[in-house]
Amino acid sequence: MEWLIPASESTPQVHYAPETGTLSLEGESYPEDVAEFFGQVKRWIDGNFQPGGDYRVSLKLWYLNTGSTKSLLDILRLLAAKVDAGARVTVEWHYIADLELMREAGEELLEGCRVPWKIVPVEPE
Amino acid sequence: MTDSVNFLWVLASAALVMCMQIGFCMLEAGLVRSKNSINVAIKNLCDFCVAAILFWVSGFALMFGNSPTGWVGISDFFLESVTAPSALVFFIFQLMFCATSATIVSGAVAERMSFASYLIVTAVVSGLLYPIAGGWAWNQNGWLHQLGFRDFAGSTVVHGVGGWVALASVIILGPRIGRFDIKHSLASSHSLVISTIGVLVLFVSWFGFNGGSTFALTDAVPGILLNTVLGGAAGFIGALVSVWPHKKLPELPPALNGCVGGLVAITAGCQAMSPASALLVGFIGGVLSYLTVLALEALRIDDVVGASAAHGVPGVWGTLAVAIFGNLEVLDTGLGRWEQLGIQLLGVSVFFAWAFGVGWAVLFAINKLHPLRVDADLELVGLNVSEHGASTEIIDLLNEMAHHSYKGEFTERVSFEPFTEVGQIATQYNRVIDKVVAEMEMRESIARHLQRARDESENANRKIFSSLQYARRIQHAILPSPRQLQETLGDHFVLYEPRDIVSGDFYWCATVGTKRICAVVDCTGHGVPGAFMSMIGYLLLEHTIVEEQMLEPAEILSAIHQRVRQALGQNSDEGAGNRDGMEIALIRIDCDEVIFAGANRPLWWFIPTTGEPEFGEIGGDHHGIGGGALEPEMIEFTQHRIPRHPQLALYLQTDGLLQQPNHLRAIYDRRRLRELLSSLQTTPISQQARHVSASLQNFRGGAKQRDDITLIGLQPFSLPEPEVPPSAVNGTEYGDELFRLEGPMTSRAIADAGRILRERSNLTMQSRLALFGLFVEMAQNIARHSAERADGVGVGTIFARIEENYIAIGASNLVNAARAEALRAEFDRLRALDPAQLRALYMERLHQGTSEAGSSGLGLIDLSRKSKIFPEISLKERGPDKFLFSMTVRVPHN
Repeated sequence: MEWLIPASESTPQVHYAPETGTLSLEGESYPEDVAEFFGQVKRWIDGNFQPGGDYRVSLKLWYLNTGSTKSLLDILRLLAAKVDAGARVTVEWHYIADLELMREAGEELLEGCRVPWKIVPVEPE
Repeated sequence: MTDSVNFLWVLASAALVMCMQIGFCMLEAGLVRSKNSINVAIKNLCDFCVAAILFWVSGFALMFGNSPTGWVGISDFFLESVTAPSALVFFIFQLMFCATSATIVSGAVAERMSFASYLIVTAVVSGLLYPIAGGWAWNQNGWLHQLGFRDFAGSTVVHGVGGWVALASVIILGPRIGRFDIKHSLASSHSLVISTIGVLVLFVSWFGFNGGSTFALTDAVPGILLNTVLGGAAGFIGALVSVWPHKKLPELPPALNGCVGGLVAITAGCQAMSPASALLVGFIGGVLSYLTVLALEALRIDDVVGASAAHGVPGVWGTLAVAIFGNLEVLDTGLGRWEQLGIQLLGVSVFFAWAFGVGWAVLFAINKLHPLRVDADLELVGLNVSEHGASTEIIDLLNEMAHHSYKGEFTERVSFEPFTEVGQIATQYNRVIDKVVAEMEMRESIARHLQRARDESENANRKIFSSLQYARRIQHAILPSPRQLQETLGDHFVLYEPRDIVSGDFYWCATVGTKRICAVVDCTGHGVPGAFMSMIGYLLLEHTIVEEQMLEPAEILSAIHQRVRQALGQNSDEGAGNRDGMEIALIRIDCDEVIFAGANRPLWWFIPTTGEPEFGEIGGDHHGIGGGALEPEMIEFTQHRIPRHPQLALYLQTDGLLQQPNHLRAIYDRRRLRELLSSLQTTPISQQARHVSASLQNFRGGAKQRDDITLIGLQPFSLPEPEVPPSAVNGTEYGDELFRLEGPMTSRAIADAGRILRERSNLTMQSRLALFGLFVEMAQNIARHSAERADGVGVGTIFARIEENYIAIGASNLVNAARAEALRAEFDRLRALDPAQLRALYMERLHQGTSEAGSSGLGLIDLSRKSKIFPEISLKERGPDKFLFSMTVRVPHN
């Protein structure tokens, strides 16, 4: 089932496309209440990523505050647990080519992640 | 009875038939327009003369000469061997019939066929068509006669031939100019009286036509005459009862035609029918004549007098009726009724084919050699003049009048003998001309008078107008410039539409220190008085706000109120009658809120939401400024606060827009404006004026503008931060502040400021992103940890500036003693670490515990590791349990 949380000023757009099994987060993330925002994403993944399913988590985040970074790490841990349970998951971090900070943020986030991941440059819009 | 009595009867009948020429002449002349009457009349005489001679030359021979084949007679040309008196009587009688057949055509083709062509057609009809076909039916050897075809006095032989040739002629000629013009029907028949007399003459003549056809004064004659009378009368009635319900009028021409139609119909069988049958036959003949008229009209065939309707179709009917109603013994053909009907049908078909078909072919050929029709201009002039040079007084008078109208000359009079009708018309016309001339002279004199008066008043107007134009320039000079408005108000629009050249409305803005103030003012009156008041208002605003630096909106209004009263002497007895003043909506824009006070003027605001924009109206106080006896001497106005919202849109207005009526006297009204503005909240504010103006124009329609109209819309928090000279980024000039945010770090304030920071076009994207990240982290720290709080969030300051080697971003806020101590310890620890260690510590803390455990401390490590040189930290005591904590982070330009 498709799922969408529109972007707000301090939270990214969250969208799940069932035909490709892609959950994407795009925008920037520095909500006042980190737990509330990422809590719902986490609960959704927990309820919808099935063992045996093929999933792609696409992240295109200009900016993450430290709270959001920490919450994303939580989500990566949950994804690792899903992989352990038999789901096939890949994580992609998209960064704008030439935007080193964005790439570094991804590297730091994914360092030591047990879910297969890759970092992909994209052309500036 | 003796031969002489019979001679007398037949010759008298012949004379009566000749009278048909008179009847037709009158009928046709009356039915046409007067400009063609002479032409029709002369054609009637002429065809008789031509027919008479040709019938003597060849007609009689072809018709009644020895006819061995039964198709055409071949003896007795020029009456060679016809000498017996009885034969001559017969000839004379038949001659009249021939002439009758020929003359029928003249009415149909009236008003457009040339006279010469008509002579040719007459010759063809009377010399060839009529005699040859007539012989088939009436020659004792005629093949139709032999078959048993009976047409006693010529329903088909005479009237059929005439009617069908007439029909062929009018089809070839085409309708008269304007006959089927829907807009202008042709002028009607010029004298129906003459026409009616003509029909009466025909009626009488028919006594001879039918009565003489026995060729003897027999016992049958009275019955024949009775039938003739009944047929004609019934024909008239038949047509009358047809036209009356149809046209809602007993129109005369169709009824006249019906009478003739009834007579034509009874002609074929009048010797062999009962009076009742004759009546029925005539009645149907009359009805058929009217139906034929309608059919011709529908087919756009222009038969002027309805010859084919009165003669052709009733002729067919009458000939068939012989078989239907006729006494077979009297007919004495030895045929049964159905056989008789078949023969009658054959007869009328043959005659139609001959008269219409051959007639059409002959006319078509003639038309090729010599056009049957006169030229259009001759037709318009009328055939009387164009063909015969026969003018009438009335035509001459018309010519004279046409000459007048052509020259536009009205001083000349027309001269005619005064005692004729035309003379009387001319006299009356001359009187009209005299009156026109007198009237024209009077009007010219009045026009000259008016022109002088207008010149004078135009001169005066021009002076007033140029003086007002000058005043307008002065008034416009006090209005803030677009640039000033943009700097003070942010994104905005101004809709300013004075009713007159100068206006009682004006708007005003100024920046005093960090406060931005804007006012929309509606002075009493409009035009010149309003403009005087507006100058007072302007000076008082300048004086009170800019010079005296009075910045509280409510106080400003109170002060201006008193000063207006003072200036106009409204507090003294002398000025008690003065009630002038103004209404003001005034706002002050601070960094985090808008403060409003209104004197009889409201403030409208909108905030976009996902659905309908949120709307509010702050009414202001119900007091005007000044107002003389209407208002108290002192008024305390109320201040209203609207908190900062980045997309907040404010609208200040005078009442001119809402009170503008349309032509139905409905006013534009607040609801319409509110809905319009609500729908425009997704439109950039600078473009909204266009829509409001269009809506107003659309609503107003042709109604006059009632009052001056002013509407200002603004987004007070859309202002960009002060421009940074581009050179500063290159490091040649530094110390410029890029950005500063003071106040409560609400999530909205953070988002807005963050956006401004990120969109600064003179920094690289990398720098913008870095700066943005640092800013958010600092702002959220302040929001959480500042000891000074408002609306539940921490208050503090963040700024960014360009330095020689770095972009510096600093934050400061109050903290309590415990927090100050913790911070000092934390930074002491962090300061000891090198960048790699800082990163390691950051990663370690990042993975430590879950997010729910909070991320405080992580932010400080992140800020420290991102700073190119270790952050500048200071903690200054500001009071008991109060420290000002400042931290400055530096990142490189790139």
